[in-house]
Amino acid sequence: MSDIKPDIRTHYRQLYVKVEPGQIYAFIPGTIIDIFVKKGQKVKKGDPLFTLHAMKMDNELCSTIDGTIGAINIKAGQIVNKNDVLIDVIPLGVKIEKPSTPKPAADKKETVDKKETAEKKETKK
Amino acid sequence: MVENMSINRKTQELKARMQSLLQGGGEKAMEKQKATGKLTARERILELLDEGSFHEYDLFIQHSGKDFNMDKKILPGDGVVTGTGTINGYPICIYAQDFTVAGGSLGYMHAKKICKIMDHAMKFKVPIIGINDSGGARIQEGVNALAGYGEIFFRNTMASGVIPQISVILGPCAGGAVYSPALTDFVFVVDKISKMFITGPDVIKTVLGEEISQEDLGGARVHAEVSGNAHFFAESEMECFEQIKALFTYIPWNNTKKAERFAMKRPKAKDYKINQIFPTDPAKPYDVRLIIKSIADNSDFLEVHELFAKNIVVGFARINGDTVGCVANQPMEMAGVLDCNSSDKAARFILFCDAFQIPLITFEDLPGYLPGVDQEHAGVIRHGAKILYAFSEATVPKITVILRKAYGGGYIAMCSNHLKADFVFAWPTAEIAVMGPEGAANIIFKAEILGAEDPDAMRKEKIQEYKEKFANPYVAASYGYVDAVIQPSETRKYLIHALDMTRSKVVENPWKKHGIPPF
Repeated sequence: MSDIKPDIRTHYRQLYVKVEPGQIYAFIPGTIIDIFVKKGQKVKKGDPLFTLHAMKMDNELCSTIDGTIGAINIKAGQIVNKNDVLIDVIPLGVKIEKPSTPKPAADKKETVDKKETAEKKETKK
Repeated sequence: MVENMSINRKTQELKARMQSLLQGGGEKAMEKQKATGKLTARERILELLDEGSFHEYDLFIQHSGKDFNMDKKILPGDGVVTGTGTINGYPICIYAQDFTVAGGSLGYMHAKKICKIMDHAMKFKVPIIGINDSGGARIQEGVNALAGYGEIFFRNTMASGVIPQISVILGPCAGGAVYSPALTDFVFVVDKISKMFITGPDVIKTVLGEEISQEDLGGARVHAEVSGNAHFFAESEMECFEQIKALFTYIPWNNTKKAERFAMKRPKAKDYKINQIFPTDPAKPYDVRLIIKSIADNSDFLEVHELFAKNIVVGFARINGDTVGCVANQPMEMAGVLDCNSSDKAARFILFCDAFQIPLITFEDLPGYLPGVDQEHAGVIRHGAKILYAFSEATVPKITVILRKAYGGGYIAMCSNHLKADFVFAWPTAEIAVMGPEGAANIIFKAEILGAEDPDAMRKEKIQEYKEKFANPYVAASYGYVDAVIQPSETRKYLIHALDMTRSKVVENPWKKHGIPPF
């Protein structure tokens, strides 16, 4: 905890974070119905990955890129929160290094200013 | 004899003068422009317009900069090419900034040329196309450059809703320059070529310490997918020109004319079968664009804002030869909810159609507005209100087809009978109710459910009861909120008839200087 009062501007301004193109988020909280893919499977852009029941709909979420399925952070029947990274599709040509752990998108941010990092963590969930 | 010779000499002189000016920034600069995959300003105009139709004006304009040794410099055409021509035979006015001349920077005379061609467009009531490729304000000309921008913005605003205004971003468009495209009706961008931002990466780094590339900050993809500033995205300049030509087949020259009528072509029934596209299970998603194509002439549909806020689909189609503007919920994307961005996107499209006498056809299938703290805090109330405002205010023919779900505020917003739709048709699969069966049963039968021996079984029973009673089109039809419950296969027939019936529709909104829409 820093005893410097958070600057109101840094409090409201969110740092830019580059979104990983292959990460599939929950756009809304819901229940996972079915998963169609397995880890290591090759997928094309637009291929359905899983269904998320929310807003009176079995939403089919599709791959946003051509790539290989990396981490699958969900199982059928699981209730997920908004902005959770559910499936990570690794773009073609990128080596699969380590199994990535389920992490909410908001925590994956890299901050430029170290001082801000501490404050930021409090303001973000 | 003597006179003829003198004319020849004068002609030669004109040719020579033009020759040097048509070189723009010179061969080297032209090569540099081409090396980046870009066409030059004149090439762009020639590619876009009908062959041989382009007529250039103000070639001999000279810049008016006096300070910083600018008076010694010659800037051919002052960095912008202006003229008139035709697209698909349509008369249009056009300008294209020439990056090879002083980086396409905008000085006083440069702006004056643009304003002149914009004034022509307004006088002649023809569309204006602006091709932007400019480093920004010409700093050496100081406040005169700012004056130039201001004059252009004013004209953009005055022309709004009178003539179609098209902006094509084929290069950088930074600082104040971005506001001219923002004020126009359709913005076209090309991957890797278009760059738009108020402050560039350098300023952002200096002031905020954040590092970002031009492409990530304001590239074509960003504006087509994230910010929504761009309406059409193309992979190349040539594809972009094709998109513009396609758009011009759907829209009229000005707000006093109707869009050109084309010969009727039947939809491609073999490729688009409603039975196969449309799932009756309300929890199954589908692509609503295929429904539109199954109904549209030749199954043609020109989507606007294709990559932005994909949970609503807007675009132009033809029905029985007439241009119509389609607004449709997209169940395939975020269950088709209305949220801040999709409301904004739809409202703007509705305003365009209303201004240019294009009938509106709404295809409705949505669970409602998107709940969530971020939506509420982002202003889903005021953004969502835009769609209500736009549909209510529109006086063009308004026809609504309720395909499946029509719940709560979303039902009202999607051009319902109450917002003065001329005709509301519902498919037998429609569910028109105040909220979904699950939610409604929990509220209405709260006491029964809690008091039951097996509350879960009771809840299920009550949900089913509510579903059977209210999740259909017949309750709304019994009050006259739905004009006809129709078979899906009859939709085109009903739409053609409705368009014919409303052809000379006259509705006068109360006199006002202008309304105050929830911007």
